[in-house]
Amino acid sequence: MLRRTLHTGRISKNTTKIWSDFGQRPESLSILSPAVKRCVLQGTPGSGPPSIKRRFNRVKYRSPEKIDQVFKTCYEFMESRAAKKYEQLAQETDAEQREKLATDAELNNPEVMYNFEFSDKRENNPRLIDYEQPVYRHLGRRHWESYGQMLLMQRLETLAVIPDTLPTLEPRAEISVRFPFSTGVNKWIEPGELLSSNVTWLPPVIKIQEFDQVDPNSQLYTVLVVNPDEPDLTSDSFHTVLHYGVANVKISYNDNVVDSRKFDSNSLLAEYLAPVPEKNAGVQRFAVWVFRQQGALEFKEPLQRIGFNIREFSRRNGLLPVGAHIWRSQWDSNVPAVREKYALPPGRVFHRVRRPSHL
Amino acid sequence: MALRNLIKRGLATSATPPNVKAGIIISRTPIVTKELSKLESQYYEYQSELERRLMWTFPQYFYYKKGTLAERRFLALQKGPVSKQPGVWFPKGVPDVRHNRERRIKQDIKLPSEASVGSEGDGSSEDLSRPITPNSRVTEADRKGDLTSLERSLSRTLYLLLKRTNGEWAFPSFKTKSDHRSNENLPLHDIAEHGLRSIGGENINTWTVSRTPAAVLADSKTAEFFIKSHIVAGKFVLQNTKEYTGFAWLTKEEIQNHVQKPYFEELSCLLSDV
Amino acid sequence: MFSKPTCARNALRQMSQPVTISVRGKRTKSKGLVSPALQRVVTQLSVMSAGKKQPRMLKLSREDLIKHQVIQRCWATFQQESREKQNDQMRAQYKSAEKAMHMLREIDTNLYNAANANEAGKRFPLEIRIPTEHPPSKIWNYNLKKKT
Repeated sequence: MLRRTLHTGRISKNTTKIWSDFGQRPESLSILSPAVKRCVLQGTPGSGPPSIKRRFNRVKYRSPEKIDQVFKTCYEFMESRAAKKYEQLAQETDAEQREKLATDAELNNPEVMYNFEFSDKRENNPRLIDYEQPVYRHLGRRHWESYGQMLLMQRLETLAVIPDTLPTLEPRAEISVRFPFSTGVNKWIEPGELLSSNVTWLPPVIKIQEFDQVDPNSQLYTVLVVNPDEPDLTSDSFHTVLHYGVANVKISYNDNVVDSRKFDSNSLLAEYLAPVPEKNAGVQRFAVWVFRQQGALEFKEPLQRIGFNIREFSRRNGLLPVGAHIWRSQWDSNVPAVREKYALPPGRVFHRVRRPSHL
Repeated sequence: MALRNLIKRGLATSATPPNVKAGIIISRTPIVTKELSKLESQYYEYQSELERRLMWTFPQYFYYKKGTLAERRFLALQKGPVSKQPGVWFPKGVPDVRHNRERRIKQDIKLPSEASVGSEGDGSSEDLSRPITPNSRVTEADRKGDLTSLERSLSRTLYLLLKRTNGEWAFPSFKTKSDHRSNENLPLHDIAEHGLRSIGGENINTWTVSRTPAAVLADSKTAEFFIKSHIVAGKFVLQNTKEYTGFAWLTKEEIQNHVQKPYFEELSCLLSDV
Repeated sequence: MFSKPTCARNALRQMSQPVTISVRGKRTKSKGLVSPALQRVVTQLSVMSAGKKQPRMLKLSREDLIKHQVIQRCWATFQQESREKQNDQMRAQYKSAEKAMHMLREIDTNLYNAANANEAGKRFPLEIRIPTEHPPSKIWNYNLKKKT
């Protein structure tokens, strides 16, 4: 309340302070805690920086000398540059240029920098990191590209998901996967992790974080989970099994976890089939693929799970792969229990075949 | 080739301005460093504070031999850090002293004066221990507002401007004497330098940057080429000429106030902002 | 780090004070059983050890870290802007000289050739000063006489 009155008071005096005019600006471009905000913008109080929680440490802390004076000058300098960007933005009509200008205008705002640096980027609080804002999308993409994207591509290539399932991937959206907590592992899965069947027996939670400029009201997504390592004894090879398939998923920038609210039963291509690798069949890969659709899809007949051709499927439906993820599973002692839950027949057990020696 | 040149010259004389003038943009380079903006000075202060905080302990043993009088003088000036005491509460954190330095903050070192004990400084130039007082960056000419002085605005580049009899200010420029046999082969920069001495006296030392003209101002009758030059020593003293009534050494902003707008816009890229 | 006492009188007073030196008497504390040579080695090693001379690591609070980043970005922007401004001016100067030379060639080939002549061996004058923080006592040399 106090904060708001402070701001309105300042706006009426000076209209060039574009970074503090919160009449039109979204709340996420401001630091949430008033004490921290005051400390950043008006200098550290005598009691120390409020971000340090323990009083003992707060009193002990010494700021670098003269940082507050020079920061004030620099803030005014950067704000004047941002004002120029906003002036250009008001005249620009090209969507791509507008996005870039809106990003540049806020990129050096200390409040935006603080919010992004010190809050959770994956499970984002929209009051702090609002991915609807171009600047947070830009920062989020840069953060993802600095580590997560490289890790994903490395795992996809070393585990040969590319090209065993789809020829290649140009990553555009960050895909995160986790399993419900009741299954035992309470964290976002790192690409390529080897998971026990106990963890994977419930459908995974898939989060699609878009950084591109898309229209969340019309853009639809398809999510497929395929296993390309099912042994095929007849051809002495492997075939692909579809484990999970959902189409026509509608997500927004901030609310983007794929759950039953985001699609209806008509769009469920294939119910989740828990990974039940057979004994001695080796480690199996479970590749999650996320596609952007060109429009709403309709499926008359159920998809064939065994021998599912993901390349053919994506080509026929005009799907654009934007992101992927992968986990691995192998037979363990819990697999029979999972099979029982899904009323599956007992799995095969593979053995070494003794062949007569050539010698 | 010669024929082509001839034809070209023939054509040129009919279409382009026949009167060539050689102008000279003569500058006095800055004598003191440029004035820092608020941002610059504050940033440098901040960086130097950071550097002091991150500096290693001053190697006193290297500069002052143990047991000497010099060391004693040095130590007498230093304000030692507060050392750790058992059972004492330190609200700003427990001191971490190594080599007589508090490691958590910058080390403040005071140097003893160079003055020898007993000698009374009288401030004369022979007294080597007299305190150093730097000369002021603002000179007498600045205070008086003397535009003709070479000692004004020491931190800026000054340019020589002349006032014509019709009241207009401009850079000095001189006609090439195309009819005169001896001057026919003089290049532009020589014409400009000779011209400068003819109106400003012989006791002037200039250094011309290049023979190449830096700019041209052309209209239907004349083409005025500008040569860039620096004054190195000596003084410009306006001789008795009918053409000019005054001169001034001006900075870029002052030139903008003195000359016509199109004239300044054509030549502003040649003038230094510092 | 070096802050000279500005008042020379103050420094002189300090110097003129008698330096108190305790009269060397009987040692009250034993220096230990270390030989002088070994003691010298110990002193040198302790003097050379970096760990004792280094300051503590600089740890910034979250607010100060952001402030520092803004300051550095501001400085980078400022530098970039001044660099661009200078480059623009140099480009304009080049264009201006090019235009002048084109026109000079149209007007007078002799002048053009003279202006375009090779200037190899041309020296920068020694008399030109580099700007200093404060001006010299004699700012300008007026008493130049033309060499005859």
